[in-house]
Amino acid sequence: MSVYSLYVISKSGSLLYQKDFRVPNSPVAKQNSNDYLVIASTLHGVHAIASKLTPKEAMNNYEKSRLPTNSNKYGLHCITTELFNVCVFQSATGLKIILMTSKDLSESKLLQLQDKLYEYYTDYVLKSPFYRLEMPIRMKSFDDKVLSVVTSYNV
Amino acid sequence: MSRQLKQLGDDIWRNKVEKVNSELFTLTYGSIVAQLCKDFNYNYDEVNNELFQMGYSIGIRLIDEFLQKTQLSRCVNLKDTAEIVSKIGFKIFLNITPTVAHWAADYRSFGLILTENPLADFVELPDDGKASKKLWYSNILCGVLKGCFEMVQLDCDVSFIQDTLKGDDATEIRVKLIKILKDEIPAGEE
Amino acid sequence: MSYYFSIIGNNDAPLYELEIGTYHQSGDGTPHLPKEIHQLEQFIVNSSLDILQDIQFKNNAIFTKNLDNFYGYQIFSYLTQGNAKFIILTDLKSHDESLRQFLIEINELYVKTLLNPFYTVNNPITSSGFDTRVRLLARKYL
Repeated sequence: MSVYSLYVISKSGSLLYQKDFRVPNSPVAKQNSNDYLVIASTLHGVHAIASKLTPKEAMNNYEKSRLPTNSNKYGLHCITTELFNVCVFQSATGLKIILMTSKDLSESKLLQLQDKLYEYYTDYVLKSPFYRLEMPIRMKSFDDKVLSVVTSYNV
Repeated sequence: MSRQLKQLGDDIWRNKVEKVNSELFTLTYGSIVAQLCKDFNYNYDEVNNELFQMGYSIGIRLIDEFLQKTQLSRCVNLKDTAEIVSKIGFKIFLNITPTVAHWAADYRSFGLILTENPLADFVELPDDGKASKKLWYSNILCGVLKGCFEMVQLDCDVSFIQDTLKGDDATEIRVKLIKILKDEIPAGEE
Repeated sequence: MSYYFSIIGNNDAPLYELEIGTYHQSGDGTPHLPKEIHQLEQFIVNSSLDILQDIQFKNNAIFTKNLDNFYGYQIFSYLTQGNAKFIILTDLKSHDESLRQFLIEINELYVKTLLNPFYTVNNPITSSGFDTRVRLLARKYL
C-alpha cells in the first residue's frame, strides 16, 4: 500500500501544498509546477460540479466512509482508476486534502491518514504566527511531519 | 446531548490538548493589554478594536484545530452551536464552561456568561475614569469567536455587554447571528 | 493603640500609607497619634530604613521587631523578597504575633497587586480595592 501524492487546496481553490512521494513504480508521474496548479484547480472545479450532480440517494454511500470532520457530502469523493485512487477530504472551513493512493489502501487507513494530515495542518501551519491564510505552505516542520507520516504508510 | 458534550469536552481537555501554566498565560495576556493601552495612548476604543482584531486572527486559525480535535461536524442550529462553544470550545481552550443564557425570542442571539475568566485574574482596570467605562479587557475572546464563526460560515456579531472587572454582576458575551453565509459554504455540503 | 503603616518600594519611594487605630479593646479604628508624631511619621519611618539596610544582609529574618524606636514608638518592619519594605510605626508596647501575621497577609496582597498588568513596580498603589483589603486586615489583626 502506498501514498503517491498529496494536494492541499484552500477554500478558494488555490494550491497551498503539493508533494509527490518517492515510491518505486509510482503510477503518478511528476509534473512541472504549472501542471500541479492545473491539476489542483481542475480537481477543485470538478469537486464543485460533482456536488451539483450527485443524486440525493447516493449521498448515503458517503456517510459511512468519511470522517465526521469531512464535510464533503455531495462533492467529488473518490476517483478510481486502474492504477490509483484519488480521495478528497474537505473540512467545514473549506480546506481540501487530496490524496493519490494505491488501490490497496484500506478505508480505515485512509481516514486515519486524512485525520493526521488535517491535524498537522492545524498544528504546524495554522499555528505558525507568520503563516497567512490562503498562502502557499512553505514550512519545513510541516514538510517533515507529512513525510514521516506518509512514509509509515508506504510499506 | 448536553451531557455527552460535557463528557467530550472533558475528554479532549484531559487527553488531547497541551496545557500551559495559567499564571504565565494570564500575565502574558495582561502585559499585552497593558502594552496596547500604552501604545494607543489610553484610547480604549482603539485598544478594544485591536484586541478584537488579534482575536479574529486567532479565531480563523483556531477553528480548524477545534474541528480536528473534536471531530465534530456542522451544527444543525444555533442552539447546538451555543452548547458546543460553551461546553467544548471554552472547555478545551480555557478550561471553563460558560453558561448559555438569555436567548432572544427568535433564537438568533444568546449570551455566554463567564463565571470565571482566566484572562482577568489579578486584574484591576486603571482608575483613570475612562477604563471602567470603555475598556473591554477580554475583548480578544469576542474576536476569537467572531473568527471561528466566520470560518464555518456564520456571520455573527460578538461583543461583551458586561464585565465583572467594570463592576458589573457578571461577565457576559453576547453572540448574535446575522446570517448564515450560504454562498460561502464549501461545495459538497448542504 | 494606633498604627502608621507604610509600604516603601525597593527604590525607597513610598507606595502606600495608612494611619489606623486598633479595633480591639473596644477601639473603633480611629488613630490617636499625637499631632507631632503625625507630622513626623514619614520621617521616622524613612530614617529607620538606614537601620534596616544595615541589618538586612546580616541575618535572614524578614520580620524585624523593634527595628527602631522614637520616644516610645516602636518600628516593625517586613522585608519582601523583592526588597520592598512594609513598615509599621506604633505605640504598641510589646511585640505582637498578630502584627507579623498582618504583614504576611499584606505581602500576599502586595504580590497580587504586582500581578495586575496595569500596575508598574514602584508606582504608588492607588487601587481602592487594595486599600479596602488592607483596612479589613487591619481590623482583623491590629
